[in-house]
Amino acid sequence: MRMILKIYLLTFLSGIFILPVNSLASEQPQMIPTIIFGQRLALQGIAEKIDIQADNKPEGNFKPSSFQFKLLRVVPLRNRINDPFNERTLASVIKNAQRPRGSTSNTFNPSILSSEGPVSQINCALNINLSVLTGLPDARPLGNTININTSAPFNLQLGLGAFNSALNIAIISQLNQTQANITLGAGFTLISGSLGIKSEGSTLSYAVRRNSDSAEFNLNFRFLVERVFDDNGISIQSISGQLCQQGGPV
Amino acid sequence: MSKLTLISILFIVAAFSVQQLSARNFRSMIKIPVAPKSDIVDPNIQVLKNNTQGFKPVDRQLVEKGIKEILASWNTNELSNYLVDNFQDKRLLLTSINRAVPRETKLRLLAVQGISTLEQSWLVNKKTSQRQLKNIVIATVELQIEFNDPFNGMVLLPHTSQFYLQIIESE
Repeated sequence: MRMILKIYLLTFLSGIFILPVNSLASEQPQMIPTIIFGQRLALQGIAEKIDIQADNKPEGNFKPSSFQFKLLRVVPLRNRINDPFNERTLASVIKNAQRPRGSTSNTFNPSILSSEGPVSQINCALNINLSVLTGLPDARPLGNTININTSAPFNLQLGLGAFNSALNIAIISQLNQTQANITLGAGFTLISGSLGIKSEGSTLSYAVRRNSDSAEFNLNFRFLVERVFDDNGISIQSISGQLCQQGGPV
Repeated sequence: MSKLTLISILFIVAAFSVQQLSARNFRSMIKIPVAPKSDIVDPNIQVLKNNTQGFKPVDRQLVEKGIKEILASWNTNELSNYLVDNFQDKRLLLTSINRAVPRETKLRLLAVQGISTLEQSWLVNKKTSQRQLKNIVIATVELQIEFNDPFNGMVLLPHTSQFYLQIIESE
């Protein structure tokens, strides 16, 4: 009370207004004597300036009036752990395909089973290690560099084990629909199934014979190209293979 | 203090100084070229303070507003205004959308799951003394691409992505 009286007295006598100013940003308000020449607007400006420079707490009395939004990056979450898409993305399938394996012929891994394999035939009892061997040309299926177009199709090799490419799949994107040109891999003979241009989403089934040991396989897969914000992710919806006739020694 | 002690101290000090001088001669600074920071290009903007802890909470509605603005610009020429200059493959993204995505295709926001603030800093415009709060926010969003396919009818492609957003609040 005495202080306020002194301030008013001083104002009256000298015309200079001396006012204790609360620090606007400090958590503990402190009194900063500020000399003001009769202008209330200047009071606030000076107070804030002192506050910013002295206390390094510029957040006091901050009332934003305009906002600017910028996008730095987009990360698809489909290949995250516990994500329902986790095991179906091409990246995941390729990663599985790159695991070290034994010989490709007459070596079976029943622990790797298809989750959605539609084929169940009497003579094809054993699941085999059918997987996407690689994605060409850059093997980065979920990156931003994926650019599927008619002039440069994205090539997948669907194979048995680490070496044999039983089917080659060239993904082609058209205006509203993504298609794939399915061709037979080198060293295999087609027993049944339709090669050529196939649309995404359809389940494709093939029976092939490996020339090296006459082993016969049923191969099934289904692919889908999903456009996310900034890339085209190729999602293998299902993939399975079964051995129908065991081959001789390679 | 004896003369011998004094001489010994002087000798040690002199030896140390010579060693420092020679070390200075051998050291040379080779500047490593780095890419300029592209987030603050205005020379008038000065960083006042980087919040390393105790972030000021970013309003969820503000983040959702930003996401909706960005999504509304998707599949239009306005999208480039919402991408930072160093957005990965910015031109490729814009041309790919123009070429591969049908014009009526919309990217719809289904839900914003979680929002976290990664970075926060206070800026000031040296000329106007205008303060700015720059936030780097990560948001998990559920999106859906919708378009009408002449063969398959209405096509819906839901997916989940993480958006890294830069939100600048200016007073």
